[in-house]
Amino acid sequence: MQKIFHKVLLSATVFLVFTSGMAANSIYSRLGIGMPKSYPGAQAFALGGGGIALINPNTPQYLNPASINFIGITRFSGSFFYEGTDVTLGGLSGRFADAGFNSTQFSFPLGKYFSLGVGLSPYTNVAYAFETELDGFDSNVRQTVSGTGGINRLFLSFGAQMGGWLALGAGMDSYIGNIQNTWRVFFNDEKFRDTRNQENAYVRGVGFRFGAMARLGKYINLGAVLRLPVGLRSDVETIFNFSGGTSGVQQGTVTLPSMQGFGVTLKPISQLLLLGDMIFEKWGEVPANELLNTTATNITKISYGIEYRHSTEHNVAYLKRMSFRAGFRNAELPYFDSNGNRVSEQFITFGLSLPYEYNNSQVDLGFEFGTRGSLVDNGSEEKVFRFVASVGSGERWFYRPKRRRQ
Amino acid sequence: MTKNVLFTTALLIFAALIGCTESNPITSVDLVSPGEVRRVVFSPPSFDTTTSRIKNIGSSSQLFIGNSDGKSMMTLFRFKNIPDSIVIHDATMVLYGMDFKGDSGLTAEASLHKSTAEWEESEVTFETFGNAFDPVPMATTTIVAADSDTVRIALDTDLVESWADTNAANYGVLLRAPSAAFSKRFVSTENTTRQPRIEFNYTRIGRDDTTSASVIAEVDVTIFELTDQPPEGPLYIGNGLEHRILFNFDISSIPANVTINNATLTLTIDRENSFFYPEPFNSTAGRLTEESNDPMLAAFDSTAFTSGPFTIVNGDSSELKINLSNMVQRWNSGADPNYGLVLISLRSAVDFSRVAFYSSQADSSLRPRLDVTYSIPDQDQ
Repeated sequence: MQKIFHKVLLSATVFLVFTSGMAANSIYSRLGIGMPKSYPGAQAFALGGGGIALINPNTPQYLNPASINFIGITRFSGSFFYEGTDVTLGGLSGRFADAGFNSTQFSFPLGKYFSLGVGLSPYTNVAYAFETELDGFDSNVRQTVSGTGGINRLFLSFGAQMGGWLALGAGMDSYIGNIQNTWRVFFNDEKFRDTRNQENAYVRGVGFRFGAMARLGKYINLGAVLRLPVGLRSDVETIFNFSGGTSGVQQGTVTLPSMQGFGVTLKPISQLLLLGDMIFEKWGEVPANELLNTTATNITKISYGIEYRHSTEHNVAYLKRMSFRAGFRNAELPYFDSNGNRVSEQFITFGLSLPYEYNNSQVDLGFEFGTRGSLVDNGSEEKVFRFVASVGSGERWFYRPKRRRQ
Repeated sequence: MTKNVLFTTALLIFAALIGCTESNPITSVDLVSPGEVRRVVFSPPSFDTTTSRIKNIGSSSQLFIGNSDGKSMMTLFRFKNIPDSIVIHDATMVLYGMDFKGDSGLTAEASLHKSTAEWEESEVTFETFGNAFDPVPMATTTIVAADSDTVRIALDTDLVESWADTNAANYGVLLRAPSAAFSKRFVSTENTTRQPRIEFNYTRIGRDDTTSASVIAEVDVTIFELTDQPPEGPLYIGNGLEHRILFNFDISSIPANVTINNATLTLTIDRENSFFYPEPFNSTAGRLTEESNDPMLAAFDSTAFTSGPFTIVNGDSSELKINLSNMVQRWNSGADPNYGLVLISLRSAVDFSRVAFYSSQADSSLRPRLDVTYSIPDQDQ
């Protein structure tokens, strides 16, 4: 009965997040295909967003498809997020807040050596709103520019163990999304027709990524990921506010560049985990006309994290079963600001895990504070607070044979 | 228990955070350039012209006698339904006055003539009627440049008795005042009260008593002789002598894929060459559906009139503004070819009013102009 209640609540949560409205999050989400939301999982989120080499049998992370090889039973998880952004733009300021669905993943062990995973997570998000007044009219005329939408990623991962120390993974990612940018002019005069230009960019395509994780003894794990360049098909159409007003559908391509990532985890003692990641994405090689008319630049992300968990036993005091995490992340946006300068962001992260059900399930909470851009370099600064909550659990629908259990 | 508490707590926290979503737009001028709102004035039109034609105004609720605005007006009447087998002792034609145009208090002689040719109320004009009347008047009366008076004219009783015979030709009578320095308006049979009538006293054959009766005119219509054309130069829309205007503005400089927020045609009224009655002058504009240089012959889409009517009240504004936003949008988007538009009166068969506008030949501040405000996206600039 309690399990049913558990699952009903989880379903209700997912339903709630799907019905919630998306609000604004960053002024840079107006560029290209929106703000990248590469989400590594709630545990990795609190570790500076890293985790390419992170092994956790309870919570496979999203970065490396090889990570699903270490689960012993069927695992599923879901997460949601809240994000608040205080924007300073010259002498102007604004506040955006956004909350909603973040991700879900199901992973299944298949026999002794193989695993399968499927999941859904946002890849980019577009959510912004600007407003100005126009001079030179008899009435109060204002214009607004707003954007909504983004690209979601439905991923299918397949993993294989080779020996006891090497795990390989391959994933097929299906990208689908709709990005809508709307320009409106309000004349407040019945003799004037208001302007409403709504540009819809419908994007879809399939990409592939690969990963590997190696256990080099008791203390060190290494990981690597590779995402091949992805060519997405785009259909862009602008709808105008007059009868029959359309630009017609213009077919094109949106390209996601290749991504390479490397990670390492160290466990000097059983209670302590240290983590470091580096990711490279070659956005600068994507022509502007393959990024919805936006010029981009190559980016590098560096993450560090530390985790402490006193005991993995389920019969010790609860505080000793909890995990505590902290991390730091330094990254760049793939886009330039309005002056052509690069935009960087720095975040500190922390979080904890709340295990239950004999440590078979857990609630992961992650928090992130940071800044994006600077008033000096970019003319704008965003102070971001982000909160992610994830619920993960397992069922013995599929399980590995005993000697392979973690 | 623990996990339920955790789960429920997480759900409640999230539900609270959902309610905290907000978006306060950034007020920024420089960060975004979605597009531009532009205003452009097209003046003078690439083509404008006015033409006229004589109009039958048999459906009008008004009748006119006298001279005004270069027109010599006269009215035809036909009476039927006179009882037969009667002896008419006396008969009087009664007309109910409305108002006049000219100097107050003037008088003139009006003469009533027997018409000598057939005519139809819905078709007859001075050109088709010609001088088909007996030049010797049957009766005369004096008309006065005054409002709301009643004019009575004695009629020949033999003529009235002859109208009882439905087999005999009945061409009616013509009332004219060729020497009047004013024009007078009367109520016509199109109204429900105070129509033109004949009042008469008669005795039925074989009886001695005298009875009074009245018969309303079966049909009546004003025709006019054009004694002076309106001055050349202005553009006219008018009634009676129907005038129409044809415009064409070359808007090809407006880029494609723009939203026409407003397009207003402004015409400056030339009051010196206009001729108003007290009633408002109603007009409208129609899109031409094929190329034409003649507004009278131009084919236009009567179902696609712009919002209207556009009303000019005598003594009121000095300009007529017509919203052509939808029309210009369809031209610009290519939905309709731009052959121009025609401006017409909605009361061309009612009276003789006329509105004059300055044309493209006038001073630049008075010429017709088309003000267009449009929004162009950034990528199309």
